[in-house]
Amino acid sequence: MNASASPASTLVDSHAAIGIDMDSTAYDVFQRIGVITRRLHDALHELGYDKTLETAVDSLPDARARLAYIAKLTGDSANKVLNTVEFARATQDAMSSGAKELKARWNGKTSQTLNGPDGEVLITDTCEFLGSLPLSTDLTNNHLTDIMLAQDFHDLTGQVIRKVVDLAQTLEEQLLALLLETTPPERRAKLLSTDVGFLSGPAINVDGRTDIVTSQSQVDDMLESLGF
Amino acid sequence: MSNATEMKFLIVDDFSTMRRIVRNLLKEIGYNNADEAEDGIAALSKLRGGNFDFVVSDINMPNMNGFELLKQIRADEQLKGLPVLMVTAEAKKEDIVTAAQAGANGYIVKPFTKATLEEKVLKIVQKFAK
Repeated sequence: MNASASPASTLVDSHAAIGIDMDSTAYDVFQRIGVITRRLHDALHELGYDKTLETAVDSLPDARARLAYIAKLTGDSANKVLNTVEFARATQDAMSSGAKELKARWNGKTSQTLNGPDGEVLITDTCEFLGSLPLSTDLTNNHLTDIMLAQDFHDLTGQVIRKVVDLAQTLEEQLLALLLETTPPERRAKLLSTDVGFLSGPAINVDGRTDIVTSQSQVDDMLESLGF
Repeated sequence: MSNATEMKFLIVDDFSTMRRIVRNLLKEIGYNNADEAEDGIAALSKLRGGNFDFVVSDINMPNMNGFELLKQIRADEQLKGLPVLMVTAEAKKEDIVTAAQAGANGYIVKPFTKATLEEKVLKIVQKFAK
């Protein structure tokens, strides 16, 4: 292939070679796309953006891996907390039902009614239950420690999120610079002032802003003032 | 160094959640006296102003990281004898070597367990008690 041949002309040639009949309008469009592609390619090369974009694109798989790591870590932590809560709840339920059962058996007992075989069994069962309580509370404490340690995902994912945010910022800056370089001067100001139009999502920088709500009560108040 | 259970710890980490986790774990182990700092600069300021016995520090922090904090502690006449335990997500061997060369007394990689923290802290406390 001729090094100077545009992709569009190559495409048109290949279409002609396989017998597709293209009218002059389609040919003209392909020619123009080819010229634009060549200009863009040359401009990127001259400005050095081909390398910077290549670097940015190369770092995207790394960002994907980091985001996958965050998803895994937060998922693991959530499962760990839920599993531990279920174990802890079983221990709590056992203590509660044991205490209720003993309380029912002690109801109406006097020193006289305790002086019999039933009374001895009740006293033995009560002592055993009281003896088991420290083990149960230790177990619950261990579960609470596990739940606390599961919160370390905040630190670990936070560090990774920072790196992904840095990468996104670099990519954004490079793409914006490229866009500005390749936009005619008279349209740059408009481009810079264009609202991207996406939904805002969670409020990030809330300080000094009056255009957002920062709590559910503010949401409720606002809805109420609107008659809902 | 103070009596073991009265030892004063400084927990250095830029994430408040991790500082709380370490603080609570130390409490469970039996050390109730702990203060916190969010980076190396704040840590140095607190260390120079108070009688701390033990430093538990993260590495990857803004402003001044854990390596730099460790170097500053070792270069400070008043602080150079302090035991420093690094608790960090940095799991690269070269980081562990760097920490050891800079004078760390222990190194724990996050995520970690209560048993690991207890073991490392006790080991360092016993070593410094000799």
